[in-house]
Amino acid sequence: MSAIPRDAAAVEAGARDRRRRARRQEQLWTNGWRLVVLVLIAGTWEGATGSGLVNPFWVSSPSLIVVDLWKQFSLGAVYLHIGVTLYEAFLGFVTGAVAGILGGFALARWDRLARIFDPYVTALNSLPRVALAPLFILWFGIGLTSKVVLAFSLVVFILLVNTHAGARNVDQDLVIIARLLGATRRQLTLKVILPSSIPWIFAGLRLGLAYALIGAVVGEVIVAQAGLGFLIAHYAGVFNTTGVFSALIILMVIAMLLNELMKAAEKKLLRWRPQIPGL
Amino acid sequence: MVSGLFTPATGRITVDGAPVTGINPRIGYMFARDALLPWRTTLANVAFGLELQQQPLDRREARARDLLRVTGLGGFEGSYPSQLSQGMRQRVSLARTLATNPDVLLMDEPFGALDAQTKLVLEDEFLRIWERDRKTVIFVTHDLFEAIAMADRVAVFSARPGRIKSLVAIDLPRPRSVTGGRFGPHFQELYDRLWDDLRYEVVAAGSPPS
Repeated sequence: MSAIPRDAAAVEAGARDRRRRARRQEQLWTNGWRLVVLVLIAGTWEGATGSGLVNPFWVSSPSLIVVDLWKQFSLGAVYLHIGVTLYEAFLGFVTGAVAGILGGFALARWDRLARIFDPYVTALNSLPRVALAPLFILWFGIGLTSKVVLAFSLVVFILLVNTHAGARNVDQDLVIIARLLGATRRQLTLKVILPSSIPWIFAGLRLGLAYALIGAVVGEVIVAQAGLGFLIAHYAGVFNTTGVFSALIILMVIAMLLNELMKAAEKKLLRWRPQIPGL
Repeated sequence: MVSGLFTPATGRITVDGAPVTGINPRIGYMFARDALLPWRTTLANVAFGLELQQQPLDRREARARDLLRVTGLGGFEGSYPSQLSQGMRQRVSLARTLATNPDVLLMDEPFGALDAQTKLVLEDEFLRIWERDRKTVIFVTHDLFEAIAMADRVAVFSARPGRIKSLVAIDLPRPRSVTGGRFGPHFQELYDRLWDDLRYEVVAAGSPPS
């Protein structure tokens, strides 16, 4: 009698092991192919420029970029530019996220407010905010502030719309049960509506992070004294395509790292969500 | 309406002689859907009502643990609803309803969404828990067997407009069990009588309103 459950446990453990191994193999296979794609792209690029098919003056080449990146990082000036861009993006992201989340909850809490502001939110949200950059620079100067404001203007609407949608999509049964258990308005917001909006807010935050970086860089490209966007504009101005590509690759890596960071935080906060096997 | 969630169009509702004016925390409520907060562990879900009453943490946790044991969920305190079966979730929901120690329980098809076996097991468990303090329960169900097996009185509602059509006292002896052997011939008598009342309404519900 007792042998049966032990056997069952062993079978289960075996199946779990097999699944894990299969998953690892799958991961290895995927990574392998990713590498192949990278090598293919870099190889074609390198080959095209090396054989004289395309002039590296216009498109640079992977080897030139690697050497340039090496040089930039060993000289150290690039750290300042990375720092400036990150700082602008960070300030714009945090202020925009806080304002957007609070605004989203306010709109969900006061339905009348939402109805009044709906067309304005839609109008401002449909306006390509990047087009506002010249105005922001006029108003806030060529320094840090104009970039932060541009990043803010991009982030705030994403969070506003997402938080509002999340708060409105709360399961009505949960609201009813909380009210029947005697929840006050405040408790309802903090203990039911806020936690149930977290997935929506996180989706907004991930998008917002990418947009904060866009805001900072676009602001810098237009006019700035430092930052990765400034570097890109500067190098493009002196026909240094290698420098432009180096800055772009740094930006790409930063954006990917930030996204991974956000994913990790999300995973921790949303561990109650059902785990889909195989993911 | 009894819970204070809706106000009646006409007439008035009293609980223990007092009119219902708003949401009454002395009434416990349970749905067919478990309506558990998915981001809370089992323990935190059961303690939710006590938390809203701002009771001290150790007291509400002790109470929640106790109720999870009673409902047969000891050991699952740290699980999230998504990790539990439908039957287990409904147990958690029951524990949450009992946690605030309400005087009256309103149960709206609490076992309606469960498979037949789980339903029988939970009905029995509920009867067992109920026997401890025999609180007033208003139990809505579409299952006539469930109604007779559990209730002291069965009210048959008519289809559109929903009014109480007949009220039948169930004089089967307690404590009862839905799984411990079938009920005797008297059960069948009650069943037939109520089914006669009900059949007409089921047919009426299926036809367009006149």
